Amino acid sequence: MRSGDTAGTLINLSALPTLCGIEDRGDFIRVGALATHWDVETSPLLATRLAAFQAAWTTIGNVRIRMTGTVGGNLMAAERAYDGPVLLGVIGAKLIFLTDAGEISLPALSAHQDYPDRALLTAIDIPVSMTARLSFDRSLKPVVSVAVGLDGGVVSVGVGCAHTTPFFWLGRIDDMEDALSAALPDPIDNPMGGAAYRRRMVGVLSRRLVDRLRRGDAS
Amino acid sequence: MSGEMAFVSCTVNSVTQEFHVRPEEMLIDVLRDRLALTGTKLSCDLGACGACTVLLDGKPVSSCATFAWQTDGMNVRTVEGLAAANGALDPVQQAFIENSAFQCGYCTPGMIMLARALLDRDPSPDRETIRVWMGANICRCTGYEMIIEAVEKAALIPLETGK
Ligand SMILES: Cc1cc2nc3c(=O)[nH]c(=O)nc-3n(C[C@H](O)[C@H](O)[C@H](O)COP(=O)(O)OP(=O)(O)OC[C@H]3O[C@@H](n4cnc5c(N)ncnc54)[C@H](O)[C@@H]3O)c2cc1C
Ligand code: FES
Ligand code: FES
Repeated sequence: MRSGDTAGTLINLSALPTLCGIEDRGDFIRVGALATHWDVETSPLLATRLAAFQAAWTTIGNVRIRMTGTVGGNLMAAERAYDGPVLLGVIGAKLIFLTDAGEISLPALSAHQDYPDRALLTAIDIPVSMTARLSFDRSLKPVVSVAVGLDGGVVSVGVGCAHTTPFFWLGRIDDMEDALSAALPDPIDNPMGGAAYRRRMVGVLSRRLVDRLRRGDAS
Repeated sequence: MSGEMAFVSCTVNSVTQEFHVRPEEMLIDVLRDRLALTGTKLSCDLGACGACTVLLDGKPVSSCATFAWQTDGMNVRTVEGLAAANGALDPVQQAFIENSAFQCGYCTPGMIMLARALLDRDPSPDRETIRVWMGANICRCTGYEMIIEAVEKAALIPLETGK
């Protein structure tokens, strides 16, 4: 903007305070699209019911960014290095959009591939499960990030940064290493990180996160 | 908003300010160019470094990444607004001086505003909290140790009242 870009139309979404709340809906928590990362970080409700998610979300950016950046903005920016899509994808969250055709709900896992046109993201519904667990490793960002969700023997792996959009794999924990490797599309190959290195690190980090969850370590 | 000027009424350092801004005009430009509050520094222009940190209703924000119209109805506080009416420095300013918590000083206004926001929320933060908060802004000179110690020290100095 400061270098001379002009805006065709600017809509001030912060004038919609109803989209800021974080509410208990029983078997899921509804996070308003305009809730800031700080709202997530400091929500007593999330601390009680989705503590691992809250802890992982609190690694986003820094305190100055978290106080202003919104959950909805993080998703809709569709930046491959952002963590929101990967984290929400592996825990089975749904994105709620208001479109010309009314309200629609899309799985976070696939919504990023084709966000609906002319749509306002209004909320994110995150399921609450007594058995599901989450772990996240962003230590190799911006080369690769990996989030793992585990529920019983079913594992869900989300890979960020390594492709133009997040990649997700769901399957049985016992098959993970070979099946994930076979399904993983060729990662980006650039001076920041080669494709072979990224591929290898997806395997290393996902295995490490699964082991951590099996041992019962916190995210 | 599309193209036309927006009317903004806010307070900057407790003084009411009213102006018309273009939709794409950023807060830092209003502060530096229109109000001559040049304590707020521009560096990365990306929201990354924090040199341009000011407080918006008490929250630390990057003024390079905040539209001027977003301040309508809000309180903006810059480094020029920290000292008390009698000239007494804010404890954070005082502690930064006593601790030599700067070298080139370019990051310092942003660091001080960030530390003020922290102490307003948590008057006695532990060292880890200070480390996490101050890590949000980038200093290329000091290595942070003196900055963290200055914030620890500032927490021990009583805030001058009656501003
Ligand atoms: C220095 C820095 C470090 C960061 N580090 C991280 C990090 O480590 N991890 C991470 O995940 N993110 C990171 N971010 C991104 C940050 O978390 C914000 O989420 C992101 O910048 C979006 O900000 P915003 O809420 O202001 O959205 P905006 O920038 O206002 O919006 C982004 C886009 O989404 C659209 N949009 C916003 N809300 C909606 C909605 N409700 N419906 C439809 N469209 C919408 C806007 O039109 C725009 O196109 C970082 C950002 C910065 C500047
Ligand atoms: S100049 Fe604003 S954050 Fe760097
Ligand atoms: S004192 Fe020089 S950048 Fe911090």
